[in-house]
Amino acid sequence: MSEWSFVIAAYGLTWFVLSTYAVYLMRRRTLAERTLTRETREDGWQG
Amino acid sequence: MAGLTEGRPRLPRWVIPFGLFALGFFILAQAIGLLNSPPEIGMGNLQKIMYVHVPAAWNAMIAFALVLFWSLLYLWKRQEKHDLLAASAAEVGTVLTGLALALGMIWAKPTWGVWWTWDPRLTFTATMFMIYVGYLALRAFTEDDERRRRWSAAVGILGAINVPIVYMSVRWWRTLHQPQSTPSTVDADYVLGLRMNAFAFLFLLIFFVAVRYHAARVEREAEVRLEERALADGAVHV
Repeated sequence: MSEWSFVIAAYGLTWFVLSTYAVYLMRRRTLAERTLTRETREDGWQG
Repeated sequence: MAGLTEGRPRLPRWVIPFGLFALGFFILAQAIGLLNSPPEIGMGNLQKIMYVHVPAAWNAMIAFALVLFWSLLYLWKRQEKHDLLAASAAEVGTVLTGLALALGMIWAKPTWGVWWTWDPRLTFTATMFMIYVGYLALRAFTEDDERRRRWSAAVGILGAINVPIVYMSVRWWRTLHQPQSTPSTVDADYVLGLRMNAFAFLFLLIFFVAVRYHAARVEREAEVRLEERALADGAVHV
């Protein structure tokens, strides 16, 4: 393997890890907000 | 009747614009690192891996310093937000440590001829990674809230002892790993790329911790509502 293939692998891995983590965080946030909205609505119906 | 927005945690307004700024800065820093530095005499173009490996490692250590700070604050003030902030920083720091280790391996193979060796710097970094994986596992598997917060604060404080050992390991022991790469130890041609990428990773760290903390607050709020509803249901049925 040439030097550049290691460099590209390193930068590719960096982008993959950071963008995957960013997507995971945004999805987790969305899911949490949806759950909270549902719980709050159900609270409201009971009240 | 509880309103939809009553007590609901909101993502601070600055977070998304700041995330976009961090992304733009990161793209610029990466371009400078890749395109604006000459090949190093000994390593050639492999030197460019420094712009991602070193900032990832530095910012992982910053994240773990934040875990220490918020863990101490939690034990002092016993406020849940400090526990959630510590957990958020620990998760981001663990991701960055894993990335730094993997990038180090990619650099080591063509430079040292092996993917991994039990060099003190590598060994203590791997230990640091395992400590914070343990911290996250502890949080995931401890059901009692108070116990989870206290135990994870203790691990967050004790685990931080390893962080300066990781940083100083290249000075304290004779190691295969080269001394710390900082703007004062690298050639002038590489300072800009290193500084830019260090700040780019720092901005991403701030963004990630902010989003992770917000998600944790919302999850916690939903849990509280669920518990309250379960108690109310119980009260009705008894």
